[in-house]
Amino acid sequence: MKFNSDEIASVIQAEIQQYGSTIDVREVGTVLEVGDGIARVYGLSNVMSGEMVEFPSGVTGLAFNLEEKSVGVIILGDYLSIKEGDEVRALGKLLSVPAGDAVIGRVLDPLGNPLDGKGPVNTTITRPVELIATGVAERQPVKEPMQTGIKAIDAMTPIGRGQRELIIGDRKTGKTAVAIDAIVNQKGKGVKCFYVAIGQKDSSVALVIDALEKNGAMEFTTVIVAGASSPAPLQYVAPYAGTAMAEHFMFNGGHALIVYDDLSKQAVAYRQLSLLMRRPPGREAFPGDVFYCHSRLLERSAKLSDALGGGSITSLPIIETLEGEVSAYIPTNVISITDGQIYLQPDLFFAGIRPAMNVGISVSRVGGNAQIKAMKKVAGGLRLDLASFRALEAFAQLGTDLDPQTQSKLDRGYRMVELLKQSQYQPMDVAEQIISIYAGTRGHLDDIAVDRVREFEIGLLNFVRDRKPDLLVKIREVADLTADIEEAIKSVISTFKASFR
Amino acid sequence: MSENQKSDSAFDDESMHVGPIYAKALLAAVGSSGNVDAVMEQFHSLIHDVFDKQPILEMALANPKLPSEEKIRVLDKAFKGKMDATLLTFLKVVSRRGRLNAIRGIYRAAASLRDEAVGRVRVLVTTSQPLDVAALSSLKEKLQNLFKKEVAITTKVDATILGGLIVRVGDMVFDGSVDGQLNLLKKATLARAEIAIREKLSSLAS
Repeated sequence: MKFNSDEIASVIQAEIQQYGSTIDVREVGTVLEVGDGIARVYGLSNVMSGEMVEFPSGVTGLAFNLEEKSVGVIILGDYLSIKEGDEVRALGKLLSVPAGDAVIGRVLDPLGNPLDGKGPVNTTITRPVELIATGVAERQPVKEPMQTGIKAIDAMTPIGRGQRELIIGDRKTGKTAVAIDAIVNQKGKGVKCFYVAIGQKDSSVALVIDALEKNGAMEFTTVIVAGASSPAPLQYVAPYAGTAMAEHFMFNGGHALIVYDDLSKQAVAYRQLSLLMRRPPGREAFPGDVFYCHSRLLERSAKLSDALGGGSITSLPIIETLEGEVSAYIPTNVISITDGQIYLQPDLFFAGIRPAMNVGISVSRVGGNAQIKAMKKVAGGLRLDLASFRALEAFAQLGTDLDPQTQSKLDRGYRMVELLKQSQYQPMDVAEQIISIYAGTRGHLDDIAVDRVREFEIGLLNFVRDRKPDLLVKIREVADLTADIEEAIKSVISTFKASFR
Repeated sequence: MSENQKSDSAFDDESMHVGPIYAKALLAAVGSSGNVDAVMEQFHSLIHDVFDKQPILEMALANPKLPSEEKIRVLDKAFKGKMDATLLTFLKVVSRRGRLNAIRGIYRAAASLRDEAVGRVRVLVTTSQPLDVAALSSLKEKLQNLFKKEVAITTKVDATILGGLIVRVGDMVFDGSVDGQLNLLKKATLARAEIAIREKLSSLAS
């Protein structure tokens, strides 16, 4: 690609000729002190909270604290280039980021600057970073499924478009893996995905981007990175910036999925800013409005009414707990804001049950509305059965003799747990999930050895894909477990079982 | 009349807090007994003609280790008879309270309170060349007509603005300098060129 320098020169010439002399009127203040990502500014007497300001080096900031004698500014960028006595200029506008199709497939910082070396973000569409969420009248109930491709989640804690489902667990329990699988599964479904990495090692973000690229998911995904080395203001702004980009699609009738990985680090960045601004600390030294910090963010995920195009933003916030402590401040806050949580446990993870979801305390408050009818029929009661299996299993370890009924319940449970295991980056189609879970819950696996259940499942699904592809199409189209579909599934399972072993 | 700009940028929470309180008291005390403008003139001269030229004196007065009786003795010796009695008493009170370190903050607050009381606006005019008297008075007249208030002009010469003038009133800056104009032109041209290149890009892609 070549640029014609004459052409650019003529553009510049035209601009100079048209340029009329105007007096530049601006409101200014003076930097009193600067450090740790914040600046205290004297002057700027008419600046408004959240307004953008500009430093002489071109770095921008946000008016964060309006005090009697000074203005506290959070600096979005390199604060080392700012000196005491610098003139700060109020810009009279709100922080906004680029949006639209041009951001898809890119890796950006929270201000929309590219980090992937693929050149500038070629768009003229921008959206304000902070926006009040849509109200009651502009919404409709969540009822469209947002398949994650993970059997355990789609069957037991289904997520709908416009829902906010928290992924919570200790470190190294596969929280990010669940979110990445959900993104990978959106391939071909027209859902735009946003992965917001906050306060993470740049190496782990690079791994995520690599995984997304390998699985072909980067074509419809934007990654917003505020790594561990980014200043706290950028980490604080990152989730709002990601949501602003996602909102562009929602308000144009599209669907978006956004992952905040993770919000506990964002809360820590916000705590740092607030303490530096001398706002009074509260519980765990977090400021009093840390709840509002998360609630106003997650309220922006919505399912819009048909009059507004019916677009949606589904969000998967991630929270890291310490030693399974869900009653800490930030986890309880976010649990109370979201519409359910997927709880991942280290002991399950190390026992080889992956995804390591604790079925008993994972819930989805939208429930069956976000499932297709066939899944609802197949998986209904599965959650309770598995929970009672866990109780029985603990009891059975005492070594008591069990009556045959209890024993069969236990055997079914072992097979279901085995069936719900799933490898990473292998999201499953809903029709295949239905066949698998049907085989499990209706007892077709009872005569298969526990350690061969996964082998049987893989074989069965390959068999269906090769021999009966029309059955999968039919399940997807009808989306209900009608008598003839049930018959077809049954016959497929028995034919395959005859050839198995 | 040169207002000390650099001390404005020093972050001194104590003098910012204490200044207005003492300044209000001083103005009220002087207002009931005598000529406020004369006292302010003396206060200004104390800061800029004495303290600016004798920083050691200011440091000694601000030093909390020196007993306040000693400071009062020095003040008496230096200013008795030459200074307005109310102002001298005021300085002694400030000294007794151990607030002489905030004296500049008190002066700044007093000056701005006085401006407010008589309806005066302070304007800082920056030019590349020193302004002659005629230009200054015509500028003053224009500004007075504009603000409908009495205008006190402070001038500053800064060759880097190349030409034209910058007028600063409070926190508002009206930038009519050549340097500022060139910067605006640069921004506008870059923005336009960027759009032109983008349009070109999309036509190349299709």
